[in-house]
Formats: sequence, C-alpha cells, structure tokens
Amino acid sequence: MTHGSALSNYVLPTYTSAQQTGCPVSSWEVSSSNNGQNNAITAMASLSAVTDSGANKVVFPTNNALHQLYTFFTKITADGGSNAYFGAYNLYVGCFTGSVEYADNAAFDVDLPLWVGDPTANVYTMPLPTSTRSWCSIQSNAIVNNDATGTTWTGAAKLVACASQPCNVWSLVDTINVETIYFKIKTTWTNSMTHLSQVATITITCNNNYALSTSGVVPNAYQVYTHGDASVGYDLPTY
Amino acid sequence: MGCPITTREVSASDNGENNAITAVSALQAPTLVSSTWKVKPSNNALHYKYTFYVKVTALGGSNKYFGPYELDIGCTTTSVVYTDAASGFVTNVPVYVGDSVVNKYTFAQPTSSRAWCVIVSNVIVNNDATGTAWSGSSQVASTQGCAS
Repeated sequence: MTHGSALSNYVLPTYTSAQQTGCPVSSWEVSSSNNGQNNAITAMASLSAVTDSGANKVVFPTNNALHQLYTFFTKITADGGSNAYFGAYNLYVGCFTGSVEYADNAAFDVDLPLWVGDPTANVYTMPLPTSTRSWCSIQSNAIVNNDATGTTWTGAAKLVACASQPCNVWSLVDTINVETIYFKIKTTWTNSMTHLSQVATITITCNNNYALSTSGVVPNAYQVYTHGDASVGYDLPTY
Repeated sequence: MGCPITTREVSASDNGENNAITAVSALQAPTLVSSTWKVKPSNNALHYKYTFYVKVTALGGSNKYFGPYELDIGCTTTSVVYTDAASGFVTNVPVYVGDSVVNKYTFAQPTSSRAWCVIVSNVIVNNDATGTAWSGSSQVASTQGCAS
C-alpha cells in the first residue's frame, strides 16, 4: 500500500464463531506474535487497534508516513471467551525491499554508436525503468561506474551531469576521440531505494566521410634534388 | 585527434575519393624520416622527373587524393638551367696569318643552376640552332685541343 495516506490499511477477513448467532465474535485485537489460545496479546504500538471501516474491520499504521512492513496477528474473541489467533498478516506500506521490484525499461539502450565529431547535446536517452508499485516514483538518475554496486562515477568526465533531477537525457562532454564508454545508471526511487541498470555503452568511432586537408607549412609542390643520394625524397605536407 | 591519418599511398593518378590507387613502381611508399613523410625514388641514380599523387586515408576510412606533386631528381631539362659564363666568354679571337696555332681559343666554362649538374665534356659543334656535330673546316675539330 502507498504510504502517507490514511486510506492505507489492512482489511481483515471476516471472523466467525462456531456459534456465531448466539455467541458472536466480539473482540478483535492486534498482536505482534501468536501467543496461543487464551494468552494475552503482545501489543504493537506501530499499528492501530482494529477499526471499523464501513463494513470492514481494518488495521492501519499509526504513522502512515513510514515505508515499512508490518507483520501482525489478530486475536479474535467471541462472547463467552472463546478465542484464537489468526495470521500472520503482512501489511506493506510505501516503498522498501520486499514491497516493490524495479526493472530496466524494455527499451533500455545498451549500445549507442556515435561518430567522432558528432554533436554532443542530448545524445543518450534512458527510457525510464519500471516499478511494480505505482507510488514508488523516481527521484533521480545518475551515471555510475560499471561495477556490481554502481559506485559513484570515478572516471574522466564523459557524460555531462544533469541540470535537474530526475533526468533521463545526457549530453556528452565531447566526441573528439575514438572510445567506448561503459557505464550504468543508478535510479533512486522513493524512500531512497535504488535500481542499478544493466551496462550501457557509448561507442565512438571514426566515420568515412571527413574532409581531409593539409596543415601547417605546405612544401613546394615541385621539389628538386640531386641524384644518387638515398636520403633524398619528396617531402610530403602534413595531412 | 580522434581519427588520425593512417595511410599515405603513392598513386600515378588522382583516381577520386574511395577509389584504389594506381601503383607507381618508380617510387617507394612514403616513409617517415625525422617526422617528415618522404617519397623516394626506387632508383635514386636516375635523372628523372616524377609526377605523382598521394592518397591519404584516415582512421575510419575517410580518404582523399592530394597532388599532383613533382619530384625532379638529378639533372633534367626541367630542373636545371645552364648559362654561358657571365664573364670571359670569348666571342671573337682575331688571329694573324702565320700566328701560332696552339691554344688559340679558351672557353670560359658555362654555369649551372644546380650544383650537382657538372660539366662532363665540351665539344665544338656547328653554328646552327641545335648544335649539330662539327662538319666544317678541319682548322678546328670537335675535341681538338681539349685535354680530355
């Protein structure tokens, strides 16, 4: 269930007594453990008492801003004192390990080929990863090292840091050199949960359509030398 | 920086971008000598003028022909100019009948615009446009009087 909402609660099943008509269920208590029939409950301050919500009996967190798993039992007592523990019940509130799973977008771009000299602006776009819980939202995306845990990027600056988060489009610092940039993207979600993407690469190679020219001092196109000297030859310009 | 020049090839003609060169057996492939790329003749003993192009290719395949370039080796009609001696060239020797005949005419050596183009011989020839072999009086002969 989402966090931060008073509507987040656990709807209990309907409990009945074998003699429900004459000796109906009359008490619903929350316990952190199953203490066995006729034994008192272990109180849970983090959960409310069983409360009526329309036709249902519900339990909700006393602080609904927490991202947390609540595991509890109910002790149900009928008129006359018959009682039993039920559970365990798990109430997941918010975003935390166990309540949500993240995955790379199916369109995640694992290899972006570029040419040396290509424009650098907004070259890599990451389709946003997905979450199994709609209330777990992306807070930021960061380029990180290509290692198992996605440590903070330690190489030379290759991709320009985003101006504002959450962002999913990056520019390159330059496309001057032939190189392959390996990186991962660490996405931080609600409650500081993180998802590490698969490895992405940006491969920069040379195209075959660059203009070639001479540079520097261009030697005379006509050069004259003596014969019989193995050291002489035509001095080519610098290309 | 990222896509440097990787190959330089000598071609007899400019065959156009992306087209193969026309090999020139009389010239070697360019070699790097003291940070300068040179094209040397295969036989440096020849007096010859070579005209060629260079196909330059960069990493990735970009390429272009440059030239034509002209390499004049030795003494060729296009590489050297010869001139009569600036002073001392004798155009007229007055001789009296009965004078001694020995060493009557001294030829001031002509000059060359290339130091490596040296005089091998001098011969007397006809006074015509092309200097045909001497065919006149035996008073002078083509090599008469020369030391060698």
